[in-house]
Amino acid sequence: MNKNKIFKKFVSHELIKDKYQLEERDIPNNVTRALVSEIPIIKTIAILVDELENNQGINDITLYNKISIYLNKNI
Amino acid sequence: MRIKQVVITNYQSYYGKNVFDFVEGVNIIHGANGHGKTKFFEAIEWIFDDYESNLEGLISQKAVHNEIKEGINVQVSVRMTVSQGNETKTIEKSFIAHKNNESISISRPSLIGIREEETGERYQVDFPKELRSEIFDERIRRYSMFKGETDLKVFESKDALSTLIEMFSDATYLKNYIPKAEYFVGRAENAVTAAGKKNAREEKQYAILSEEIINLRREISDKEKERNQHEINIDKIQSSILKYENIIENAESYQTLSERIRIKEEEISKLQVRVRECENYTQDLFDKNWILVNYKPVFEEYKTKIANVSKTKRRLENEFQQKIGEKKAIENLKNGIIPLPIGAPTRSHMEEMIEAELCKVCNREAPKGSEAYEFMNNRLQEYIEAVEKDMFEKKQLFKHNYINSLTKISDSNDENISNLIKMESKISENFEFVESRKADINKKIEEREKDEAERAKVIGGSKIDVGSAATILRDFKGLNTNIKDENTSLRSLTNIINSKKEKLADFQNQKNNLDIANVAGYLMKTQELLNDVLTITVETTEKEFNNLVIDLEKQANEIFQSTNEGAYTGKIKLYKSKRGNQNQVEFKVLDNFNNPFALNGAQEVLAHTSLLLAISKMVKNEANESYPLILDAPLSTFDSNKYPAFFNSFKENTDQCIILVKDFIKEDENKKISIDSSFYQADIVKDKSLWVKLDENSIENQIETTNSVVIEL
Amino acid sequence: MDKLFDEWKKSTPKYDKNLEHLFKSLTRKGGGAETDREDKGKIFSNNYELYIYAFFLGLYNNKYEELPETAELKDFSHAIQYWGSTKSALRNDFTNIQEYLFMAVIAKTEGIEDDLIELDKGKKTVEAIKKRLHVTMQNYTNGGLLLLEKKIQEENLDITIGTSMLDLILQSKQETENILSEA
Repeated sequence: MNKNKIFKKFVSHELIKDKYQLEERDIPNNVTRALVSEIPIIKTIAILVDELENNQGINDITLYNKISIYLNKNI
Repeated sequence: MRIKQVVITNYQSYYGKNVFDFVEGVNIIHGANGHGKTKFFEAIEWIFDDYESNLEGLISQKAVHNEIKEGINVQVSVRMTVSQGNETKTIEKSFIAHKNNESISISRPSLIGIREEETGERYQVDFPKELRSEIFDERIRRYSMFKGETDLKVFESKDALSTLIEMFSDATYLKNYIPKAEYFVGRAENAVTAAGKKNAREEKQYAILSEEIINLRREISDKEKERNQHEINIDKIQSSILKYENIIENAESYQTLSERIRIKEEEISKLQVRVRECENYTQDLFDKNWILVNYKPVFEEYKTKIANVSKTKRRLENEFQQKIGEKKAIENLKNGIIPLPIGAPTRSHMEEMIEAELCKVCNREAPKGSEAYEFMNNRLQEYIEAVEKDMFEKKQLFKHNYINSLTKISDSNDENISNLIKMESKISENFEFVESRKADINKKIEEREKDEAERAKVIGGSKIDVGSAATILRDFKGLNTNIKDENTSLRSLTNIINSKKEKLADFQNQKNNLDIANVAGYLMKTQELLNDVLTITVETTEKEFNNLVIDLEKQANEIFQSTNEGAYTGKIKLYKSKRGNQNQVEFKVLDNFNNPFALNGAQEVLAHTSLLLAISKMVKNEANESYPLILDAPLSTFDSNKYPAFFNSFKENTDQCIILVKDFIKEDENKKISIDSSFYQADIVKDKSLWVKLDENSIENQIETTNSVVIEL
Repeated sequence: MDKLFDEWKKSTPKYDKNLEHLFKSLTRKGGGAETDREDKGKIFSNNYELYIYAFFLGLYNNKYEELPETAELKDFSHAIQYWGSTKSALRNDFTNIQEYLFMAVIAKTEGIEDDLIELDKGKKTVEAIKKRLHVTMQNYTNGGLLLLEKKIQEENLDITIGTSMLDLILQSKQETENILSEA
């Protein structure tokens, strides 16, 4: 499955607009752009999709560390 | 994928090589029952079947007869050539059969795959099984090939449909994200807890809360698993109950009738025992003395004879006594009358008569001094003397008393003989009794047969097999008890889970408060955000599945309505439910009030084929490839006016289909069969039609002559 | 008391060996084997039942057939006094038939009256009387057996029919009456 398609499916969830108050224009429509987003929820999902789709075998610890380091610094 | 050609050689009724060429669109194969329609279907299935059994049964009997028995080797094969993408692929399964002494020996079936690339390069593949699944994936094939209506009902299984939908839904793919998100949430929670512990002023309370939360989560998870098991059980029981409910009414009357039959049989066998007892005619000649039925004249003869002998003996005795000068005897003989034996009447009777001066033998007065009185008196004296005389024996004519014993036999049987007269009527009574019991038996047998016919009807009306009704009833009662128990357990578990969840929420609140006060804000925020990521992955996955179900339902309804040409036949509903983590999809046809719509046989087939076509379209959308649908005889419940819509729905919704039908075959008075002209009407869509039929040399019931041939129409 | 019957029933009457096949084919072995498979279709439980049957059949049909002088005689070593006694729960005792046999033999032995007088006088022995009675019994039985043989062999009497033996007895009532009216 195309990673952009997956990403778009996730960010279409109502939490993104309802809880995080994001407008359509805030939401990038591909992973590459989302990875440089400054919105934590968008970037987190982008990292998750990007890492998993690029490297199916990535282990959970590595992936978590990557995400948590980013979040702990930027949230 | 398109099927271009199927070649069937020496397989079942197909003797020799038989080529079926197919085109895109609707391909129709006609065939009367027994002419090779189903064998065509089975031949294709055989290519995909790795479970080999009874290969000998697959050989054309005509080939066995004409070739193998003559020592000629025969190859049995089914070959399918398809186009897929830009390639042409051929898969062939075959085996060789040859004569071995008097039996047939068979080689292992082999599979050959040939790939012809776009460039025209053509080669045999190393792994034909892989080519085979490339052509027609087993999971897709399951929903592409249907042999008759019952196969179509595969959709009534909740799991079958969900398995299929999951296969094509992105949900399956997205599902992989859920465990990752769960892991992140766990790690974030741990980080928060670790930080909380370090900073906690109320360290002890914090530790307790953390532990309680962990315990409660574990408990809830355990209880949920338990509840899930109960839900699964309830579901299973519920579907069993539904199945039983259709037949349970029948099962009850079946049992009542069976009980009635049992009672009748018991009565019959009791009567038969009684009849048998009464039918020992030869034995009863003896045991019941029936042999004496004609005895009376014999007895009379005996009685007379013995009486005479006895009389003769007494006369001789008297004469003898007379000869030796017994005066009294002479007097007694003066009238030539033979006196009664001495001692008759008895002494006491004599004394009584003398006392009363009355002869009670002739009922005449015998006053004292009269001749009669004197006679009686003398007679008594005679007796007394005779008795006294016996004491000192005197000379006598007779030494033995055998005759007397014979008289006694005669006397003692007098009464019995009167019973003999009744014997004949007793015998005929017995006959009458037997006859009327036999009539009773016949009546009971008739009644039993009626009940049996009734019971046969009951069985015919449902799918109860003989003997299972009792089991069904017992099971049904058991199921009802079970479901009650299961529901009780489910309710109590749900209550426990809810109260634990409340407790958990409470503890979590307390802990959160401590965290907010003690833990760095970013850790809390990270935890919250990752929680949201989890929610998003779970719900998105769910939505994907739901979307596909909704889409499929919509598609199926569109097709269903078009085949019904405006007639209202209810709406197809696909109900999604969850059992544990497993999705289930239930297929139903409902009316506007969401009540089950009662479909007739044809409507049911149409509903199923509509869903099938919708699935086929879904597969095409999701897999970017369409697969042919192959259906065997789904029309048997159809009115002919339904045909056009039916065929049209296939034309519109599939790229290729092969439909096997028996419905347009007609037979003239010479038993010659042909395709009915109604089939050629323009409103029945067909891109190609073929006709499989037994050739002229095939003789009914002579399997070695059977040969199906294929004719292009 | 001098009981002729008691003396008589201690003896065993005889039959013509030429008719032995009837006993073999119509009676069950031993008399006790009610359930013996081989004996299915054999209609008399034992030899004396057939003997009694044949006697009455001969008697009722007035078939007094003298045994040929050259006849080899057979008996089945079972004195009359035991005939009809049974311990089987399935059967009734019919020893009372012995008396009827006796009476019939007396009734049908011509001139037995004189012999009986002589017996009582002591001039003839019980043995001599018994011998005369046996001749009567054996000849009627012989007559009955011959009649039965004829019915089976010449008139195709189906002995597997349950009523076949009873019917022969019932039919002979007609015979008896005819004979009586002639006399």
